[in-house]
Order: sequence, then structure tokens, then C-alpha cells
Amino acid sequence: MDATAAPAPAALALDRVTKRFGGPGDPRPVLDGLSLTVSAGAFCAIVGPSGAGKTTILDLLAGLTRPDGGEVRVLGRNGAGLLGAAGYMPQRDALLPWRRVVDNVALPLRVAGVPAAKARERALTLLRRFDLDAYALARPAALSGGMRQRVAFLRTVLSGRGALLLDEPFGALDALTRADLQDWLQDAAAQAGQTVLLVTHDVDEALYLADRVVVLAGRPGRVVLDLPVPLARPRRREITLSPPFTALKGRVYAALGVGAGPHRLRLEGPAGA
Amino acid sequence: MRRERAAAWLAVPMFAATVAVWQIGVALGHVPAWLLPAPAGVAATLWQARAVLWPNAATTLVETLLGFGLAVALGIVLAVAIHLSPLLRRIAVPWIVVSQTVPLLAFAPLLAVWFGFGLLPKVLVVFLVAFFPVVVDLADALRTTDPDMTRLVRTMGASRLAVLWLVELPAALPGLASGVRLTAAYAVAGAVVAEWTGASSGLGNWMLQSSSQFETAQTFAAIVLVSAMGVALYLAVGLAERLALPWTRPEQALGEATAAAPASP
Repeated sequence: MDATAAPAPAALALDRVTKRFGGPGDPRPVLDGLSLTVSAGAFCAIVGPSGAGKTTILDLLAGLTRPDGGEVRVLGRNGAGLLGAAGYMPQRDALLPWRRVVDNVALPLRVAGVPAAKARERALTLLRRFDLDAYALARPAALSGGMRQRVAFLRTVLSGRGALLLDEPFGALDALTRADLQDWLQDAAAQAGQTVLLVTHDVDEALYLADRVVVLAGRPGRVVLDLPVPLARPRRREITLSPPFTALKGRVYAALGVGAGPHRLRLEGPAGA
Repeated sequence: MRRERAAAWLAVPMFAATVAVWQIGVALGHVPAWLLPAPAGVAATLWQARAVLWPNAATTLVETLLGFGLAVALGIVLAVAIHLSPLLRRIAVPWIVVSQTVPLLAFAPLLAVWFGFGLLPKVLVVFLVAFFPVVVDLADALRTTDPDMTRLVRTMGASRLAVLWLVELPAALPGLASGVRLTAAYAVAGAVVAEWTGASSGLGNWMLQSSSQFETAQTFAAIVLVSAMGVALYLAVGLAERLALPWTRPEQALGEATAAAPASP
């Protein structure tokens, strides 16, 4: 787990990172000396209760907040260089309502200084590859929730130069749309060929999509289980009913403390209970 | 939306009814024309005095448009500067508020003393009246941009100015539009007040001369023209807003959806 001891350079690394929101005297930091690395090309999921620091980890990797101690590295960049290093997908899609779909997807290229025509062309190529080019000229308000998340993901693909940070991307969707989007994301992530870090509340989603599931407990956030998911790809929905899958699920639930006692039944329970 | 438009058309019969009551009331009550002219008399004056009215209206229109243009342009610059610099916000905002508490009828003659009786003092009065809603509405709209959007664009490595240009300004355009619409209604009245305090032409000047000579129908003709100008400016801004900000119209977004999306998978 120690980043300095890793044989190959990790795509994403937190090295003994401390983060507190209540100032230096905060007795309960969100993260206190947490180390975590994700190797290049891996699909890693983080699950854990609210308050375990999942979103803080993503914000640190995205460069939106600085650690109070330790170091954060993304694809060889650190410090202020973290902004613009990885593609970031927020819980809410944050599509810009005045931009058409193609221009929303092209937004990260425009920020990076790519000329408008070329950025549009690359965005359109990507939309075409995912059969979404019929929506290219629609405005976000015209899209369904699932379609908006697809567009937001493609925008993330164009902003990531090798790493994607997904913060509960399907949290607001209904169960059927969500299952549909999970299958879509599995394909899309494989095609994108980038390192993915997915934060989710949903244990099934984490196991279905990821090569590795990290279970966090808080507070301060610490890794209580680091579980490889050795299920063959491409995965189909039926796999979630197979004995290997349910065995892995049992281990994650045990690590989360779900079912261990009458007061530990809820995943959303008080942090660090 | 359709309902709103129907409600807007209700204004037409309401207006017609008011004019009719006024006409009938003046006729039945034998009110002398120097006290309150009938609408028909005002309309006749508008036509008969057109040769005098037109150049006066042109003067007022030029003052209004110049002052309004200056107010929108400087208002935008000021709002953006306040948004970008907390220091400037602390320095400028008290002065901006003070500028609105100055009694205009007392201040406008001073402008005439300083800048003469030409165009400039009128433009400045219109500007003083008109820039405030632009600054306040735009600065508020910039401050309340969806933080998810600014955070997202920051993760793409955008500079402060890029965040402003790509997210905050477009997101604040509807707020700017409502400020400009409000200001359009004030601007003409500002020009008229400026003309009262010293001018050789303009509808305000003509209005004052007419009422001092008890030519009440002429005063009303000028009032009608001033109102028409204000309404026209207001409607023009509204139209520009509709054309420039298509994403703020829900029916447009839905229309595009059916046109652009064949079938949901």
C-alpha cells in the first residue's frame, strides 16, 4: 500500500494524506495519514459509509482541495498541477445548460486550449462511437437523467489524460436506468482505456464494475478491506447472482459491519460507529 | 407559457377600456381641455404637432439610448470587477449605493452647471438612473452561479478568467437580462428629468413649456410619446433576451428534444 514501495508508478496515489476541515486543531480529521494507490489502467471502486472521506479523496485527487499533510499524485503531477490532471465527474452531471451536447462534451478540450472546430470534431467523433450523435445538437434540458449521465461521462473521458474520477455518478438514477448505465459504463470505461476510480454507496455496483474494491471506514477514513475482484470480463447481469459474486459481497458487508449487530444495520449510519 | 402570453394580450382590452372611460368621462363631465384633454384631443395634437414633436422626440431618444448604452456597458464592467475582487467590492459598493440615494432633481441642475446644457449632462443623468439595476442584478447572478459547474471547470485546469468566461458569465446572462429590462423602463424617465433642469429641446423641455402655457393636450402628447419610448425599449430588450438566451425557454428545449432525439434506447 505504501506508494514509495510500489514497483511501477501508480496512476493515482495518496501518500500518508491528512485532511481536516476544522483547522489545525480539529480533533477528528477526515483523513489521517491515509495511503492508497491505484495502478495505471485499473478500475478501482471505493465504498464506505457517509463521512468516511470518499468524496474528500476524490476532491484531493481532482485538485479541488489541498491535503494538510502528506502528498497526492496523479499521473506524475502534484500540488497545483493536480487541477487538469484527471477527468472528474461530479454526482450531479453539471452539464452547462446553454451549451449543446456536443459543446458540453468538448468543454474540457476548449479549456485545454484546443481550437473550437477541432474540439467539436473530436467530441462528435466520441459521440458517434457511442451512438449518441443524434443528440449532439440537443440542449441538456431535453435529455433524460440517464442520457445526461452518459454525456457527462463522455465529457469526463475527454478531460482525463489517463485517469477518471467518478463521484457516485449514478446515485440519482432509478434502479433500471442505473443497471443500464452500469453496463454502458463497463463498455465505455474499457474503450476509454483509462484508470478509473469510482466512489459509490452501492456494493453491487462496485463489485460489478471494478477490478478492485476498497472499503473505507471512518472517521478518520481508513482502509478496512482491499479486495481484488477476480471476475472475468465482460461481465453480465447474471454474474451478480453467482456464488463467487455473493461471496465477495459477503466480505464487503462484513468489512462495512453491516449485519454485525442490531445497531450496525444501516450503511448510512453515523461515521466511525 | 401560452397562458402567460394570453394574459399579456389581456392588457390590450384593459388599455382600450381605460381610454374609453377617460374619453366618455371628459365628454359627459364637460371637463375643459386645459384641465384634462380627452384622448381624442391628445391624438389630434400628436398628429398636428408632429413637425415639432418629432425633433424633440429624437433628442430625447438619443439621450436615452446613449445613457442606456453607457449604463449597460459600464454596469457590466463594474459588476464583473466587483465579482472578481473582494477588495473592490468593499470599496465600490458603498459608493454605488450612495449614488442611488442622491436626489436626482437636485443633482441634475449641478450637472448642467458643470457640463453645460448640451447632450452630456442628460446622458449622465440617464446613466446614473440606469446603471444601478444592471450592476446589482449581474453581480448577484455572478455570485450565485451553481458551484458544481465552477468546480467542474476548475478540475479541467481552467484559469480564473476561463471560469468567468465559460461558466459564470453565461450562467449570469438571464440575471443581466432582467437588470437591463428594468433599466430600459427607467432610462427614458431619466432623460425627461434631465431635460427639466435645463435644455433647449427634447420632450421633457417641450412638456414643461406646454404645461406652463396650459397647453395640456401637448403635455399629454409628450407623455404618450415618452411612455411609448419606454415600452418600446423594454420590449426590444425582452425580444433580444429571447433571441440570445434560447436555453432559458423550456418549450424551445422540448421542441429540440423531439427534433433531435429519434428514440430512447
